[in-house]
Amino acid sequence: MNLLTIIISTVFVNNFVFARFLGTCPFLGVSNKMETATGMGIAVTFVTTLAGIITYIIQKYILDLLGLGYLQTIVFILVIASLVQFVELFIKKMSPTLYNAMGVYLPLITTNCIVLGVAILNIQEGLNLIETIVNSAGAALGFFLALVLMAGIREKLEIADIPEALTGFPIALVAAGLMSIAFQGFAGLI
Amino acid sequence: MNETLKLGLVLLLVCAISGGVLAVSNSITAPIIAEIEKEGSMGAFGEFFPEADDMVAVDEALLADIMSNNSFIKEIYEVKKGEEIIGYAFKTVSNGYGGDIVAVSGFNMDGTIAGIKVVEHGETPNLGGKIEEEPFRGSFTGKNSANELVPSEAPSADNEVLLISGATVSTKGVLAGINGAREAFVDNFLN
Amino acid sequence: MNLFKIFKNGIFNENPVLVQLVGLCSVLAISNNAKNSLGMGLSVIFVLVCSNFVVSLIRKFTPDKIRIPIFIVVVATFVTMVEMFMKAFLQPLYQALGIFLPLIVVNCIILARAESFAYTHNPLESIVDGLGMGLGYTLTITILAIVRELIGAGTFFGIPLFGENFKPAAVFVAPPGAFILLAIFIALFKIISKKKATD
Repeated sequence: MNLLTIIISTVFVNNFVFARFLGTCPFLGVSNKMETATGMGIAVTFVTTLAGIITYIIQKYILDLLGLGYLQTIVFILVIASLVQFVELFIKKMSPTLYNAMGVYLPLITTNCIVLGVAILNIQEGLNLIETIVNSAGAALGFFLALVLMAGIREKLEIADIPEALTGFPIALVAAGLMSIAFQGFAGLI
Repeated sequence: MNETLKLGLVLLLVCAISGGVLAVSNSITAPIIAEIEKEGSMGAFGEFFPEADDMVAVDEALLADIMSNNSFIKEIYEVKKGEEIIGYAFKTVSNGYGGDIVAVSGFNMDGTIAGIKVVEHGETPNLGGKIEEEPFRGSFTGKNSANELVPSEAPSADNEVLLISGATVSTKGVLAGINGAREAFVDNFLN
Repeated sequence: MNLFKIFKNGIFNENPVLVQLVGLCSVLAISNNAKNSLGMGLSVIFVLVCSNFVVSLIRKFTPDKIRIPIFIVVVATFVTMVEMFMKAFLQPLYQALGIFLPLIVVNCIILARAESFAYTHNPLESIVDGLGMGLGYTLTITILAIVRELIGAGTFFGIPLFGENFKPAAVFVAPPGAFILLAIFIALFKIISKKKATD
């Protein structure tokens, strides 16, 4: 598969939030402010790409060789959980500035289904290492894009006059629905 | 240090128990899954050739040769009844509106299409998604494979199949793959 | 605590989807088809009840510092078991749920119940809590799916209802419809529970 096609596909056409519904919880949870959205976006991109590479190596060189494919889910989630912990410790030591920017979002990432979802999809679709890296980064960037766009909209929504029952979460979902329609327009692109 | 060691041991124990439980359930389910997967790969084609009793992948060198000038083809099988080859089955991948369309198709040795089936796609439900369903699927069955298949709102000629209204790109996507299989069949296998 | 109250809590007062707003990924993705939604719901109930039970059972021996990794292992074990048995005995459902089956592991409902309920309650209460929460999830996703299917495809559990001339609003089975309908559901639920509170 062409690498450019993978990027366009994961960021726009099959955007993980709008078309595949992965990462919807943090997408709606942290998209109310532009600043938090950016921090979360960076953290997710970083962890997803790293997790994609590591899980790929584990699958190819440990699970497949030992015939333990059925342990995939449990091994992957443990890898991701420890990776997140490790990254948190590492960044805290190395760069306090970076830690301030994305530190608080790191613990939330373990349960972000994009990370585990992409790791499993990479294997299922039989991608090679380079494609895995591009696919993971693309998926996370798609999430990042969705998050930032949404934050922009929600900052405006705060001052809009909305029926009481729809305030907060429901109206954010409606906005997400409309954006999802917009993203469907990319479908003919590849 | 002592505490870390203890925590590590507890975690290891939990993982070991879970691994044991999973190994047991795997040993129960693995043979059944293997059986189903074998049937599954036959299943899609089995529909087209109810009489068939065996399917054999064609020679790898031949497949590589065909794939080198036909980008749609992914897999080719000889369909056999006893020793006699009664048809060929193809798996193709082509571009649709929402990504790859994976289709399987079967061709009889008299040159007619035994049937097609879209097994995987990302088309819009109820629009392009209709490529999975009748009457689209059925409009291929029995058609002659000698000429290129073309879409039509009301198929009548021997090379016309149904154009799903509102889903031209999806229809043409499927057609591209099936035409690829058809070409490979006529050029290589139909005497 | 009264068992019935715990049970009801999961379905109404603290409905995981409509009130706690967790586990939305699978709700949005699977609810385009009522049959699959029911299958997904039952899988979640199974995992939730089992993991709640086990977590509660071992809560006294679980070191506080590593409880989260232990919860994750417990949940992942049950999810993998569901995956295996579904693959072996319910192949079509397994294929329809796809990636969302292993993703039950990171479904926040399950970890949240382990952490906030099962870890501090006895096994019986934990099972009942798992049943209630799971049922709350299942009811929500299934009802959402029935509505989406009805408007978006004109079918009820796959059975066509309106004859051939019915032109369904396909957008409702597509992703945008999922977001918008769920928004309406949450808003309606808010109105109903508010009315109840003032009565």
